[in-house]
Amino acid sequence: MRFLLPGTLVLLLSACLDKPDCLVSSTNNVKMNLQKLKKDTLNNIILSSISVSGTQYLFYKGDTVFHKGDTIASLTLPVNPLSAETTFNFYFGANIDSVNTLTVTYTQENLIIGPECGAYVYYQNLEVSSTTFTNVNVKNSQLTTSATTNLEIKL
Amino acid sequence: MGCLLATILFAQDAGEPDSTRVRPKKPDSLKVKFYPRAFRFGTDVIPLINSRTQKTVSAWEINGDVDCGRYYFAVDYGGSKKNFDLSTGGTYQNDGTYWRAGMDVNFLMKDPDRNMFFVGFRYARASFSESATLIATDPYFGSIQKQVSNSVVNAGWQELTAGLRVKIWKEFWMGYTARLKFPASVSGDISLKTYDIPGFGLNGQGVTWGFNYQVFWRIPFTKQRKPVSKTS
Repeated sequence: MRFLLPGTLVLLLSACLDKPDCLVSSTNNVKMNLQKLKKDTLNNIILSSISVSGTQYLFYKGDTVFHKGDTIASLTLPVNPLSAETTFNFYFGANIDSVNTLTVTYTQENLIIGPECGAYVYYQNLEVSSTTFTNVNVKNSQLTTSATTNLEIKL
Repeated sequence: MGCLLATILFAQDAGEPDSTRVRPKKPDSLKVKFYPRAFRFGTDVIPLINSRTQKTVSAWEINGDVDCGRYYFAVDYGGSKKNFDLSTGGTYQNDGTYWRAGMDVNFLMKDPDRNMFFVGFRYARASFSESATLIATDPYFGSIQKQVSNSVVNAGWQELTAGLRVKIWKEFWMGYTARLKFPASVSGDISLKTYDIPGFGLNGQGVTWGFNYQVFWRIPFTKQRKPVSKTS
């Protein structure tokens, strides 16, 4: 009988350990680094726009991606949550002088955090399916809010 | 003559037992014989209370054990159904059954009423289905609604148990069981990562604790003798 009280106290305290925290790191954004292969720092590289399959929205429209002296530019683009692959078309130059294409595939894991936190989709296993860029490396195949770079693209 | 006398004396000496060299016998009262003495069946009160007080859960569990002296063979069987809304929109449903089987060791053998403090282990398995509706709004792709489901999910895990069983009145018993649950292995959760496992709790939380409060009725197989009190 002497075990009853301390045992009950331990069990009551342990009940606090069962609830999950609402720490959500899911995102459908891919973080890309564009790098110049040639160390030509004299010219700007201008993006006319970037289109993403599944949406009519145009990204980075009219932005100067590489300023004079820059060798690396960072972009953040969303993948299509309604598909297992997304195609990005990069239109370079003020008059769309050139177009480069990048297609990526990924898997989606549906995860319930809890009734109070909700349900989220985690994008994983990011892979390059096809590209017209010189070189594309997958640095981090998981799309999370804490990831620094997912893809490294060599121009 | 001397030889004959010695032979007679030797024969006499071999025939009579030496009372100073008899090994003391262990009293039968100290030996716990292994045989089934009684069957006890009951239910966990906590799922019944939760089913009454919470609209999102409906659960039940029945328990049974066989008293074999110091050792008790225990079996639990239960089911649960959960259905709740998600804060991000959508719903989650879960429906299945589970069982546990194992053994307990009683550490209160001297108690005349056979009250027990026990430590034991269980092996458990659950079989269930679950589904969810996920709703989200993306600024570029618009409103997204997904219906995902796992039709057959199986999970297995082990537990260490400890608890009390106390005789309240005649053959009516009450007690509690604390469970140290080791992480479950899950198969079949392809479309949706399993959130809740019937009989186990939330998936993916590592080692967790559980607690049951149970009521029992004991059915003895033989009539038990009441201990006779010695009066001087």
